[in-house]
Amino acid sequence: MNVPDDLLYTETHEWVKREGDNVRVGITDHAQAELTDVVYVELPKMDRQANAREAIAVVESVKAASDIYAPVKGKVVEVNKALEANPGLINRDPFGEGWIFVLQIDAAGDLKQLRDAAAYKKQIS
Amino acid sequence: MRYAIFFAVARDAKVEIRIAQFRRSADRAFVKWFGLAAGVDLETSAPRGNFLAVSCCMKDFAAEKDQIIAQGRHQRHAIRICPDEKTVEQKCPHRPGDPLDLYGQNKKYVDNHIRIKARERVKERRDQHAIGKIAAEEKRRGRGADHPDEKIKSQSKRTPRSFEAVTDEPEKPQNENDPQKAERLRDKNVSDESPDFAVANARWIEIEHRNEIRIQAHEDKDERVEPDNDANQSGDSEKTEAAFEFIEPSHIAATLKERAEASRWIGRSVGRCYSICGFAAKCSIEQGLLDPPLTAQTRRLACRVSDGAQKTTPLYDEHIRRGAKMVPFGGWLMPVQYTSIVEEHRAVRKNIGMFDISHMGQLIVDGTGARDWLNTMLTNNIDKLDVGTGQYTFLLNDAGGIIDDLIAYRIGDEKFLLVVNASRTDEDFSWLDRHRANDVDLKNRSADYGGVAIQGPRVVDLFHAVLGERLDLPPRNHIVDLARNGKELLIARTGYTGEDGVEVFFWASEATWFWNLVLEKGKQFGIEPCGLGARDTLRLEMCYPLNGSDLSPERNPIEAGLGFFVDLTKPNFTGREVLLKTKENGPAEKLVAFRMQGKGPPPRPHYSIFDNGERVGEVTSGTVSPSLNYGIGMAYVSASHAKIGSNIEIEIRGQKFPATIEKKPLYKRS
Repeated sequence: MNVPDDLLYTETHEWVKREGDNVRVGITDHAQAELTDVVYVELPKMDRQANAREAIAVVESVKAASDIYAPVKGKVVEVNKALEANPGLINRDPFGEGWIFVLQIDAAGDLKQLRDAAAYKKQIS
Repeated sequence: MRYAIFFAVARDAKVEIRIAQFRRSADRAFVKWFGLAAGVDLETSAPRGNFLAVSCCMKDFAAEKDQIIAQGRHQRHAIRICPDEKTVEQKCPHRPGDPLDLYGQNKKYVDNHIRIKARERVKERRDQHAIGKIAAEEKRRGRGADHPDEKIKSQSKRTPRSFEAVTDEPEKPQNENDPQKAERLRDKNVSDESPDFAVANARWIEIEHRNEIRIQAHEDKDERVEPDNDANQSGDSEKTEAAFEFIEPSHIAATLKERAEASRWIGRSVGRCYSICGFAAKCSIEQGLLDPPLTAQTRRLACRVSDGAQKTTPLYDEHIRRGAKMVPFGGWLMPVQYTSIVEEHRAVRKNIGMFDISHMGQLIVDGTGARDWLNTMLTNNIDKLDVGTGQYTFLLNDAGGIIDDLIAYRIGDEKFLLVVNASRTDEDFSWLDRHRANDVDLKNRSADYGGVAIQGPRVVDLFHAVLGERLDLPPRNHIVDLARNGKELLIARTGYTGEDGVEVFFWASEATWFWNLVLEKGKQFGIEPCGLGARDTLRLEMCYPLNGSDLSPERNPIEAGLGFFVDLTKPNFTGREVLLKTKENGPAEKLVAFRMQGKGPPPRPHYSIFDNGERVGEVTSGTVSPSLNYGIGMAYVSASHAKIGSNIEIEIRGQKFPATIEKKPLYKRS
């Protein structure tokens, strides 16, 4: 299972990519493999505030709906509109085109709560 | 080298033997060794028949015949000599070292085998007392059989040695079902004795306590099921002719006869008729699959428990090996998907898919009153079933609520196979057992069987590859009992996907063999192993209900829109009064199919349904249809809002999404 070293991870299988004051968020390769066949993504509303571990998006596969949590406190500044027409991007390219939203984070220090690749690998092994 | 004997004990208890196509004196001699019943009406439709010799040799068996006839019809079990595929499939190529003179081979096997049985029989009776002592001793020590009935029944078939082996070494049951034992014994003891000795003892083969016969004269070591290969076809002119002539006793229902002959079925011996078809290459007289002996092995395979509570099917290891994602379902650990629900779904719609359905329950209803009693327990009219056919039907509680939906197959005059939902098997059994009539025997044989559903438009091609070009699948809703290589397959032309397909049941111990065989042969047809996920999307596109979601004890079949499977003209069945009332007054709520309009999340069970702001119902099943690419589902809505074409709204996470009520099924094969 692909777990890029340059990303941070949550216990709930989101990946987090630092981009200056923002973080880009998606679900991991492991998560998409578990879900399979994503058929619908409910994106968060722009500019909404979210607390860490607050459910702000939903990814639905054929069998199940799964909440996606904000990894840290922040404001939604970008959402991946491409997923509305093509939710399968999450399956095809979970770490790239399958990203879900971008958060403007309140405090960079919050990122210390997240796991590194090694810890996440251990979690899913 | 082809001939068949069909030996039938039919409704009037008249014993018939019919023999077809005995071409040589050697073949007729072969029949002598299988002189199975006496004073029979011997008929032939073979052009060159000369069966006087056979007739003469059978006169000595009057006593056995009487014994068969004296038994209740429901006690009789199918007896057959299975054909080897090499003789059934005429195009089977000749391979070096694989002698085509199978007759000579077979003669030896038959001779030896008869002797084996004769000896075993004598030895068995000698040791019967010893068995009893062992059993009694076990009981005293509180180690009684799991299924006392079964054990008692099977005792008579076991030699003391095999009894001990089964007890101590579950992996290697050495009872008489073990063909290798016959081989071993033959090699060791009897290979050079004369055939005459065999004839002298042949009568011992036949009559056991329940008329069960199980002989493996020759276990074919080569288990390949050869696809037909014209290029390698032997030059033997006989091989271009029919494998055998299928002959049905005249007093079997004419329709059955036509169907059977039309479809060239060798093994349509489910239930009422006993058939024996003798073939040269390999002969094994088999007890019908429908009453498999409970060997330690089948029990072990079928009832293995993992994760503390979840049972696993005999195919569990295969699922794991192929990387399936396993989930708990109805008390079983089942594959939900192998690769992707959508891909598996499409494989079934386009090519072919195979599902493990070993978790489903199999109940056998047997006895002189079986038919009448079942007609009072089930909603559909069982009298409409010919032997070898099945029907969808409901088991209701006293309030007309659905305990289970199931398929009832008539596999004998008064013998039925009920295939029920995994999660309801125990409940169904205890309900039926509580209401059981005195002249009805009810058995839960779920642990003995494995099963797969093979579904998709290319199923016919696949089955020709697996079973040979000469065998056609049974017609829709028919069930046949077919023997291959000494293994038995119950094949029903039924399914839960909306595609052409079959559901195949076999002994649990043979599940892996069959699963892998079909996957191997199915490669060329694009077969995919499929999980419960695809099974659910496929059935939902067809609007087939799922018990526990769309059906429940609080719902009756009229509300579920399945009144077609309820025969209200039957004078008496459980729940009838309630259903009559529902029909008369019209149901308050109806199970409808709907589709989502526009882009939106997939509907899921328990979402509320609204019409102009008023809550009018609730979703029971929902998904995104992989075939149609939009959200679909079924829901109970109040009857006044259940009109096809009505616009409704489905509330998903606080937001309402438009949908319309649609005609069933939602998906139609193009």
